[in-house]
Amino acid sequence: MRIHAFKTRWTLSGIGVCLVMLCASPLAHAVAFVPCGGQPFAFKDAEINVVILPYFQAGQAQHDLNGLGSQLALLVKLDTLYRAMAYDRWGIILLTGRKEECNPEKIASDLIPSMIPPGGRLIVIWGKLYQQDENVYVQTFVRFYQAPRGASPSKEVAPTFEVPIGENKFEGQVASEFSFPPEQLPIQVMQDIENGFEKSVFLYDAPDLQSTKSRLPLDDFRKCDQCHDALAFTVDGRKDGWVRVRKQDNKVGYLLAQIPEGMDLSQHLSELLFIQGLMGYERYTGSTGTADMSATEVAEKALVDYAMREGSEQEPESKAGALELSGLLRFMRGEKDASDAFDRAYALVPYSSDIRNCAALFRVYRDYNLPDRKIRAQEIARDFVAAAALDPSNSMVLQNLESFYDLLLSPAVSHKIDLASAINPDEIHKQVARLKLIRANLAKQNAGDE
Amino acid sequence: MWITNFRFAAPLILCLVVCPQLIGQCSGLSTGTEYKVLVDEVQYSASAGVTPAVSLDMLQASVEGALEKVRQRLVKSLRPGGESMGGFEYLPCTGRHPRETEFSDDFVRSMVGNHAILEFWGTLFALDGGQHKFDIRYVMFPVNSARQPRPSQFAATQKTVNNKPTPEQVTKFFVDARADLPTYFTVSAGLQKYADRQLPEAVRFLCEARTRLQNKPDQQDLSSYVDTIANKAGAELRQQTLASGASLLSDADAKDYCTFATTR
Repeated sequence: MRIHAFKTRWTLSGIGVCLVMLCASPLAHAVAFVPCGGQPFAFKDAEINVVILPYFQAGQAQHDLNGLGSQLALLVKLDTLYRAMAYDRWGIILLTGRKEECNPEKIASDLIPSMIPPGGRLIVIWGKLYQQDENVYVQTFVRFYQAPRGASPSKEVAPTFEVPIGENKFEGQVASEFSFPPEQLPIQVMQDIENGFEKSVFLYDAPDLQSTKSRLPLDDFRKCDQCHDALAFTVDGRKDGWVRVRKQDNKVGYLLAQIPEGMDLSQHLSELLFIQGLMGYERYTGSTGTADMSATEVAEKALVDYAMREGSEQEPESKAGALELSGLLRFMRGEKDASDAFDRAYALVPYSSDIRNCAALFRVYRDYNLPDRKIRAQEIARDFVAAAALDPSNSMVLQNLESFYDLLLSPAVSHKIDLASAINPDEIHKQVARLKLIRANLAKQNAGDE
Repeated sequence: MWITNFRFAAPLILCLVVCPQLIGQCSGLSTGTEYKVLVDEVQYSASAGVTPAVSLDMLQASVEGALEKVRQRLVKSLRPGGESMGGFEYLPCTGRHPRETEFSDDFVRSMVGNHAILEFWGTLFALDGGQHKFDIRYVMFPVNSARQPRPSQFAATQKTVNNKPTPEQVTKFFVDARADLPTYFTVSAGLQKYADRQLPEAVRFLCEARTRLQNKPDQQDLSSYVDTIANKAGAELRQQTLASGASLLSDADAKDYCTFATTR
């Protein structure tokens, strides 16, 4: 099996054993159940950890929905891990606990300095539920973090990426926080979730609902304020809706990840597609060597599917994020023209400096690399200047504009410039001189602010 | 509390005169320099006289969803034990559910002096014939400083439904609230940033606000005002010799700052 090729060793040091702790090696995926109020827990050797919090009730609903919120979170987790089997070196953690303990920022700020290694990535998922008559409405939020490599463990690292063009490197940034459109879950889906939960809350001995099974002690975690323990498995395969996991004693068990009666949770919660894509992007971005082609294709497809879903336009920033990430995955696979994805993202959120910056730099990348394209210098310079106008202190945009002018001045690039859109070299030199002064002034200001 | 700076003492003294009850309801209003969003209560209309058949939870849930969406965007850095909302904070105001008539010029000035930029509350009106109206009302305090004729500082997210709301109506109300709160938040934040001479942040918020307001034909006066202030902020930024990216704009581009910045 391909996952055995990885030499990752999952170590869960520091985690006591009070309920069940299962660990195996050398494997590439892992899954855990942890209380919010306990000791921070994540898989230290994973490239990316995904933490799923319970969905909590909004308002003062007559019915207690928090039970449903925990059930929904478990199914989100199982669906996510089933989808994540196309990737490697991840960990997924389901947190349980009370609303006041399960604060997403607190969870992240506890995890990043202690459990996420420098440069490691963390996705936190949480949400709200509201019941009206026989329908439940779900609002999901996702935030991505990267642990810093330097000496400021409390500082979040901006999720940036680099695009080499000629002798220059351009830099871009995608959003790290996403809100998803409210989704309605009809009573039938709620019943399916409850039924699904009743089947999914067990560890089975075989991929068969009739096989011997033992219940996952999620309620014990919810009640356990001081319990510092985790229930963890490594994951080593999937088949027909089942995920095969391995316990510490090397015995194999099975989790039911997709409900057999045909309920596809992503039909109701499109954000599961987004999460699948985000997880794939974050797993493989920055990887040395060529990204895993099939894995990045899976991630890209999930993001494109999300962007095509009816209703995704209700949260344009998240739809734009899906398009940008899909474009970046294409870029990671060596595609020279992913600019259409960034142009569409820009059309959705024209007030974002970062998105306009990305739209500009991927046009440069396309025009520089494709033999039948010419660089339309004036239009692209205007894009960067407009991005700087939207966020006048955005040093990344200013650096990119300077790099773009450098590129235009390079003799090796002169044949790639569309003459109708060319910029006079004297004008370029003047702009570069201004840019250098602006950037020096901003650097001074920033140093003063710190 | 010791007040050592008159700049902070003056609005507090004014607020002690015009809004003493508010200080008790909105803990933290008179302290700190963060921009404050006052989150009031969601209530039934006290004057309707008709028993509502719908719970307040839909309003509450839509408010919570919208607040979470804005908060998400603002959280910029992690601090041990919690988050920073990048110079903004939400103040829950227990028991507060104001009427628009309460917002006199003095009151609004005292709010601005205390760095409050936006206040909003929700009301569920039970109407005759089994109808219900869901109403979230916003007050953008910095709009008050506009010259006459000034745009309204009030705005609303509203939905009237027959009997009980359908699933489509619930979802639409959620979506509308999640679009409106960021709109009025960016208007308020941008105007206040301009007033506080934080010009790069001002143009960023104002160009976003102006783009969001383009979907609201009944608020073109507010959109025009936001545009005017954005142009002023852009012009002032350009006067600061090579201090920011705004200096790269030509005179023609800068004339209509946000149009240049947000169109291709």
